[in-house]
Amino acid sequence: MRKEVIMPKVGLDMEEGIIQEWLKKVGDHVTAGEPLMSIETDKAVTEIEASVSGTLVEILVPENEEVEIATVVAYIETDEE
Amino acid sequence: MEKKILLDAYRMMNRIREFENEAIELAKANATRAAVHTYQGEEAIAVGVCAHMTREDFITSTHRGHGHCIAKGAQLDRMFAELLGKGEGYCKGKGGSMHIADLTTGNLGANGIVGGGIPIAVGAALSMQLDAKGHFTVSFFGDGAANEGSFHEALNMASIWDLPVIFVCENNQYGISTHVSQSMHVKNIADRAMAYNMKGMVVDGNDIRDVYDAMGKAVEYVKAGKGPVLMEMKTYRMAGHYFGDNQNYRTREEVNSWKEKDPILQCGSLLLEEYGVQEEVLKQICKEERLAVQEASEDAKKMSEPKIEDLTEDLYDPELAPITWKTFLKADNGGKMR
Ligand SMILES: Cc1ncc(C[n+]2csc(CCOP(=O)(O)OP(=O)(O)O)c2C)c(N)n1
Ligand SMILES: [Mg+2]
Repeated sequence: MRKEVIMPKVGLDMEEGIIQEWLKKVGDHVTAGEPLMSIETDKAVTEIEASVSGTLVEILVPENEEVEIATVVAYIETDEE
Repeated sequence: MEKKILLDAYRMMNRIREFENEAIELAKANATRAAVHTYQGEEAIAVGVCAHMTREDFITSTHRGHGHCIAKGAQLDRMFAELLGKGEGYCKGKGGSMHIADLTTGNLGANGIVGGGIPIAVGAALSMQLDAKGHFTVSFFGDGAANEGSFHEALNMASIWDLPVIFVCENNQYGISTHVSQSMHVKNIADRAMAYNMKGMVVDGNDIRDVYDAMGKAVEYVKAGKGPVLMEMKTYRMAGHYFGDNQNYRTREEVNSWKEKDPILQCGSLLLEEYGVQEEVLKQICKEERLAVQEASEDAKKMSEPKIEDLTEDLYDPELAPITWKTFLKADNGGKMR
């Protein structure tokens, strides 16, 4: 199943965030709980873990680009049926 | 522990884990608005404790309360509805994650005030002692809460009156970013029981069997009228303090070392190795709970928004609002020393 990865809201007043770094490349496998990307807000840099296990199949938002919270930034093709 | 009870516990722990994972997804998407404090890694405590309780026995809970609420028997869809601020939520969407209460299952409520639930539990236990039907109250709270004045005041009063209350301290080693070594100078929080001449117990909170057995003993003690018990559950919060916590106060190595002691993995191994349960059975349980949680979340999303006209409803009890004070006399226990 293709699962969306979104720009998460990590602070109560966060409205947008920057993808500081993709910690996985397209084609890489990620396990749920493994760091997937680090994001930068006006407060801090936070590593975001993958919520599902699967293959990172598409990155929609490149590093250093700012997007609104809940924007789809990538897709993971999950391992399960 | 009987196989059936352990299997039920395994299911319940998975239900809580899946609920918490989904709660984080909702928080990420800004669907919950308010902060969400999750319970991953501490599930064995709520499940092992509540396995000994009926709906007539009460709990008070914390800001990290979803696990307690689920273990006490709450409906997942109405819990998600509360997180999402929907009208069908347990508090009609006006409470959110940190304030779910469900009197139908004996849950007197989560509490945004650290240590706020502990005195409430003492009051509930007093009512149970006066009713004399053999019920008891459990108060869940954290290591941080054990440094609040309310903790000490509550333990003192419960001890004086031999109240049927079990204080369950979930020592996950941190109060937000502060490690217990920086906030207290006792090896075990349970040692503080001594100061109130009550029974203290140290329990491995990541081991469902240890929690279940210890709770069994505590319930027996309390029901025998011997007074309150302070149980300290040694555990670890595997996720951040709330979703969004960047956890820069601890190392990934430390977190990973505790993930190896994950209570659900431990319970699974126990079932496989000592109870002869097939791996397929466990997988099936995980899958069923995951699907049930997904379904509950989807159902909750479709529920209605609360009405603006109802904003001030339920703030005051229409009958009890004019408070009448009456004197209260508690029969003393004759200054009994244990
Ligand atoms: C009276 C009070 N003080 C401070 C806070 C802010 N606060 C929220 S959670 C928390 C940490 C609580 O730590 P602990 O009791 O160990 O519970 P845990 O979060 O680890 O489950 C604090 C200080 C609060 N909510 N209430
Ligand atoms: Mg704590």
